[in-house]
Amino acid sequence: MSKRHAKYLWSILLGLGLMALAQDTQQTSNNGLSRAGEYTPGPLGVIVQPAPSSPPEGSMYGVGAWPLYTPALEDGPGKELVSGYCNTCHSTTYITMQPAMPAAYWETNVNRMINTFGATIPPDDAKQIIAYLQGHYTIETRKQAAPPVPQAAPQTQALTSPVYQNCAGCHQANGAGIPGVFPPLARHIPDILKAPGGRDWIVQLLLNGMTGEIQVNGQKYNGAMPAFGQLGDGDIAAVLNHISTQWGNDQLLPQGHQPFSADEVKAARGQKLTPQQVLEARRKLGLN
Amino acid sequence: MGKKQSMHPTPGKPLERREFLRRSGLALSVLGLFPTVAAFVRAQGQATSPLPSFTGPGANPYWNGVNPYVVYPQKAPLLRLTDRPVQLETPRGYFLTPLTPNAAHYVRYHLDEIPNAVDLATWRLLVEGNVDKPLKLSLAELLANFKPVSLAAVNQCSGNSRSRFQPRVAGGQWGNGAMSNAVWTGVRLKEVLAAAGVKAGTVQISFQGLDRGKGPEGKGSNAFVKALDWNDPVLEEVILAYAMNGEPLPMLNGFPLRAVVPGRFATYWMKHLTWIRALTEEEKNFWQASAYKVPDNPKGLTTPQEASTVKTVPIGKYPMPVRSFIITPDGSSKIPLGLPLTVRGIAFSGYGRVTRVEFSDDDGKTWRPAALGEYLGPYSFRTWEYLWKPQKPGKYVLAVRATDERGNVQPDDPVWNASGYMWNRIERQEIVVGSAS
Repeated sequence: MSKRHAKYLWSILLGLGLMALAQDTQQTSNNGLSRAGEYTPGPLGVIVQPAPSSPPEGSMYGVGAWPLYTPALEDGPGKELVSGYCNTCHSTTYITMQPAMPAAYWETNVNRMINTFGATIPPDDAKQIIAYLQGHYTIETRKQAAPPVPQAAPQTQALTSPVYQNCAGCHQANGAGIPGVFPPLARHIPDILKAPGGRDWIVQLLLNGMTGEIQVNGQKYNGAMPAFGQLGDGDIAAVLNHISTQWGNDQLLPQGHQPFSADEVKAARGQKLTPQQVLEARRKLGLN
Repeated sequence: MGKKQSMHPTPGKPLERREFLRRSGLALSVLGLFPTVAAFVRAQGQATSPLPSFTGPGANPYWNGVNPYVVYPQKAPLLRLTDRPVQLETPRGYFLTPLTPNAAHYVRYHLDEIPNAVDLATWRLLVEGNVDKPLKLSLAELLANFKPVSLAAVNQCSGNSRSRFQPRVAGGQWGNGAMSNAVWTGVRLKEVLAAAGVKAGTVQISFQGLDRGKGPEGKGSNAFVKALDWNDPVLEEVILAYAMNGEPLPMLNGFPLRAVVPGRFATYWMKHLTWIRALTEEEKNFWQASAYKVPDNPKGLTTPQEASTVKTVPIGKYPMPVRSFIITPDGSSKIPLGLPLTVRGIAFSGYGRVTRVEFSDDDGKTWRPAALGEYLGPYSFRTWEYLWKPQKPGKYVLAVRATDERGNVQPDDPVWNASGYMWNRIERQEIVVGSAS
C-alpha cells in the first residue's frame, strides 16, 4: 500500500467514525421520536366553511337551495336515457349508492319505477335503461371505483345553479336533451343568444313556457316547455347563466356576452306572453 | 434527501394510479372484493387517503357508510348517501354524547321537493277527517294553547345499518349513523286530537308533511303519508315537536313541526307535519301499504328464500329492537399496554329503558358489565363506559351488547329481511394494544 492510499484509508475510517458518532448523538436527541414534520397534499380535499346566514325579520323561515353532490354515471349507451328519466324524481346518487346487485334487480326496479311510482318511460327506453344499469351496476359489472380524487373547480363554477335540476329531467344533466323528445341546450343556447332578439326571447321562454313544433339542428320537437315564472328573478337569471356557460357553451357565446341578471328578468315580466306567442316569437329568430 | 422527496407527490401532479395503490396498503387489500377486518382497522387510522369506495357484494365493514362529507344548510359536514332527495348520515364521533347536536342529526327524505322556506303567517297544522271540529292551528296557537311537553327520544331510520346485510339489499346504504337522539319539545298529539274531537269509527290517524315529489298524484312518488292505528297505545306518547334540543327544528329535520313517535322507527316521525287526518278506513298509499313492511316477528327475520312469501306487517307494529355501539376507541389509535382505556358508547331500545350493557374484549366469548351513564328517559340514548385494562399486547376484538327492561338482549346472529330493516346485531371493534416499553 502506498503512502497515498494509506492516507485515503485514514480519511475513510475517520469519516465512518464521525458518522457513527453523529448517528448516536442524533438518536439520543430524538429520544424515541421516529417521524416528524411530514406533510402531504391533502387528497381528501376541503369542505368550504359556509358563511353565517342572517335571516330577515318576519314570518318567513327559509334556507338556501339544497346543494347537489352527484357523481358521474359510468359512460355507455343508455346513459343519457338513465340520467334523463331517472332525474325527474331523484338524482342518480340513487343508482351509484346501491351495492352491487344481481342483474335481475335492475329489471325489477325499473319496472317498479314505471308501475308503482308512475314513471312515464316508453318500453323501448326502459329496455335500454335496464341494459345500461345491468351493464354497469351489477355484481358482475360494477367497477370497484378508485378513491375519489378532488377535482379542480371548473372555471365557470360561479355560474352553475342548482335551479337547473328543474330542467335536467328533460334537457338532461349534460344538456344534451333526448333527440326528438326534449331539445338540447348544449351548443343550442349560444345559437339562440347570437340571434337578434334571442336573449330577450329566452327570458320570455322561461317566464311563459312554449307549446308547439320547433326544429333544432334539423330535428323536430313537438312538445311543451313549462313556464317557470313561479321561480324568483334571481333563480331564473341563475339558471340562464347555467345553461349559457355549461357543456362548452361558454366557448360559443356571442362577443361581449354579459351574464343574465335578476333585474333583467324582473323587467321582462311585464310582457306576459302566451306559450303560443312564445312559439311565434321563436320562429322570428330564424333558428332551425 | 432526493430519495425521501420522491416518496411524496409533487403538489398539483396527481399520483399515477399504480403508484397511489402501491402507497396505500389499504387500497390494495380492498382490490379483492372482500376487505379484511384488518383493513378496517387500518382504514380508521388513514388521515390522508380517502376511504376506498366499497359497494359490496360483501357487507360494508366500516362503522359509517362509505360516502363523502358534504355541507347542507344548518348542518355540520355529514356523509352523503343521496343528494336529491337528501339523505345524510351522522358520523360516528357525534355519538359520544347522549344528545346528538341538531347540526349533526341525520337526514332522510323520500321525495325531492323538500321545503326551502315556510311562511308561518300562512302555515297551519290541519286536523281533519273524522273529527267533530276540524282545526287549523298556527304555530303561535300550538305554542300558546297547548301544554308544552319534553321528551328525549331516539330517531332511528328503519334501514339503519342496511349496508351490513348479507346478501346485500338495495335501498339507502346506511352504516350505523342513521340515528340521532334529541330532547323534543312540543304538544301531545292526543291533546290536539281531543280539541278536534275524534269521532267514533276512526281506525287510523294519518300524518303528512309539506314535502312532495314529482310523480303522478296517488303514487308514492308524489306524496309521503304514514298512519298509526287508532288503538295503538303509542298515540298517547306521540309529541308534535316544534323544538329539538331547545332550538327550532333544522329545515332538513322537519321545520316547523314533526311527529315524534317514541320507541318506533323514524318512518312515522313525519317531518314538516301539516296534515293530521282521522281515517275511517285504513290508509292504503304505497308508503303505508307496500313499503316499510317487515316479516311478522319482533326481530323482522326471514331468509332470501322465503322473503317473497313471508307474511309482512307495517314496521310500526314493533318497537325498535335493542342496540348498543362502541364509539371510542374507533381503531385509529394504538393503545399502549398498561394504559387504562375508557371504552365509550351508547345504547337504546324502543321497548324502553336499557338496564344492562356488557363489554367483551374477546370477540364476545366472555362479558363484563359496563357502567351506565345518566338516565334521560326510556327512549333516549344511554351512554355507557368500561375502563378496560388489557393484560397483554396484541389484537383484540371488542364487542358490546345491551339488554332492555323487557329482557330483550342483542343477538349475535345477523338480521336479514328483503328491505334491510331492524338490524341490531352485536357490534364489534378491532383494536391493537402495543407494548409500552
